[in-house]
Amino acid sequence: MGLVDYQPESSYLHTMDPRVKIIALLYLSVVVFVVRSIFVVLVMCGVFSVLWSSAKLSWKSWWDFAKVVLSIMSLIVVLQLFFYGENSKAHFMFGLQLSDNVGILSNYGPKWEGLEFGILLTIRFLSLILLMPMVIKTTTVNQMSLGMVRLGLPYKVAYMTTTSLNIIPTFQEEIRTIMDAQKLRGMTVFEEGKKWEKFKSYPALVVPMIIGAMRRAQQMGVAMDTRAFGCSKDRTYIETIHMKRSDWLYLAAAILIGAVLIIGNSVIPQSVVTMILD
Amino acid sequence: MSETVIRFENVHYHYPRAKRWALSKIHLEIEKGAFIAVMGENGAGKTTLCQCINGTVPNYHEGVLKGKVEVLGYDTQACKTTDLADKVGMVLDDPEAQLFTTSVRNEVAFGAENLRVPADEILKRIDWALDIVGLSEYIDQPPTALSGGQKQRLAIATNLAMTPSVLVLDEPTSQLDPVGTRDVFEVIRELRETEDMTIVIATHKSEEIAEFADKVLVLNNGRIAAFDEPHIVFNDAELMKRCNIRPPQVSELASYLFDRGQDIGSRPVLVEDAYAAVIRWYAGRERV
Repeated sequence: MGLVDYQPESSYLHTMDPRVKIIALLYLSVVVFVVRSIFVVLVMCGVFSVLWSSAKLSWKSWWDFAKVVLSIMSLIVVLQLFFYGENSKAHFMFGLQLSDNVGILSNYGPKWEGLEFGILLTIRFLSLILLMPMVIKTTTVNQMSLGMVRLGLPYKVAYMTTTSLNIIPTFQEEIRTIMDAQKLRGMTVFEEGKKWEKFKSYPALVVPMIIGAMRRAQQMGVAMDTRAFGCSKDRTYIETIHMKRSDWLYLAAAILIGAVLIIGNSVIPQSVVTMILD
Repeated sequence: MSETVIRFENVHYHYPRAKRWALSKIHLEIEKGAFIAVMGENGAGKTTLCQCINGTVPNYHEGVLKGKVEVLGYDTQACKTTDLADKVGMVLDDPEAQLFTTSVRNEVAFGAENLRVPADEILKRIDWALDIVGLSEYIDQPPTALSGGQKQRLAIATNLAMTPSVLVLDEPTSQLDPVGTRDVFEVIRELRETEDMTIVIATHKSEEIAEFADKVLVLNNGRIAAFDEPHIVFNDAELMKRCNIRPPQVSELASYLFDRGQDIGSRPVLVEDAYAAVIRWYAGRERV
């Protein structure tokens, strides 16, 4: 089970009007980046975790992706550690600041603020990989494109967006097939090789995947044209969406949660480091 | 006099950057309600000819097309493929690439929705199309959960829901096992019996073609090598050899017996006909 494929379940998120989910996703994604307090971002991550669990979504698929995000973010944390903050205000770790006579380099050294900002970014991304898949995994492609169209997006754009999300699991499947084919011919570097060997072997995986993807995209284009895709600006839908009373309540709840978090962000001290060290 | 629905007038087609013409000097007229099989070895031009019918060639692949292809009076070069969608249905060889929604219901509805057919009419068409292809019980399943044969039957249903007059199938069974192949041909047989639809199918399956097709169009290096009834085409041993086509096994058996001095009296292409011929031949031997 991937992170962006539809997961059929019978939760309230699955039956929610797609427009509510799309609006809430956009709104809360902005809130995630507006909020700067590490406490508030943690609370937000907690709220999203509760929603994730209540939608009966797979934690394993989230954790598989979170591991990738964490490995990338660890690099960003290290970079932030050294390059974040102004020299005059920063709190350098263990006095490890390059002396002033080094000139331009005097700004460099590990800073507590950098560590804090790196952690903040990490939690933000972990929140986003809870929030976005939560919408995608609980909404069918048709519902999603219908929701986007009803929100005013052109049908072609809406369908292309949702179909591209839907195609990611197909690519994952294709990669598995290529890896199996390579294993059968004795290539076990992706299972047993060292990281550098794996890195060097990626072209063997990526090149056939791209060629296969292009061929598939071309065939899919023919199949879609054959079935009148985009022949007129409007189209009919066998599915209908109606904003129910519960949908209005969910939308209000999402707006309220975002507002509370933004207010919380302005009330609670933004930096733990400043709070402790100043 | 029957109405001509597909007309090729001296059609030549050249893919971009290709070294030779994929189609040359194609003159062809297909009548309404006909079942035409297109045969030939790989690279003979079967797919190109099929894609000319719904305008995918040249609209999608570019290249140079000379001559004129007319389908139901529409010049395919002057129309977009999407404009021909309600007139010409097309089933591709790859079962995976042509299914892209999350349920069988949505897959069948997709084309009709694009054509702005009212929702209640689409729902009726979904039931009808899935009933014909025998997939009614899978209506809520994702297409990925179906077998190869079921996927191709679903691909046929997706086209039926747009009620086209012409159905083109480009090697629909090339990636299927014998069971999937038989199921797809059963659906085609059903369509043949119940719907007044013109069907063009590119295939290598000579046994099935011998049974179903009105005429066989043989392509060789992009040119028409023969266009005649199955028993005439399949009994032309020189043509079969030249175009690398394997005739039905019963036809091969009759030729094999003939070459060894055992003439069973006819060149059957169907098992039933072969059985009758062998019985007659054997009874004649008994009398002698």
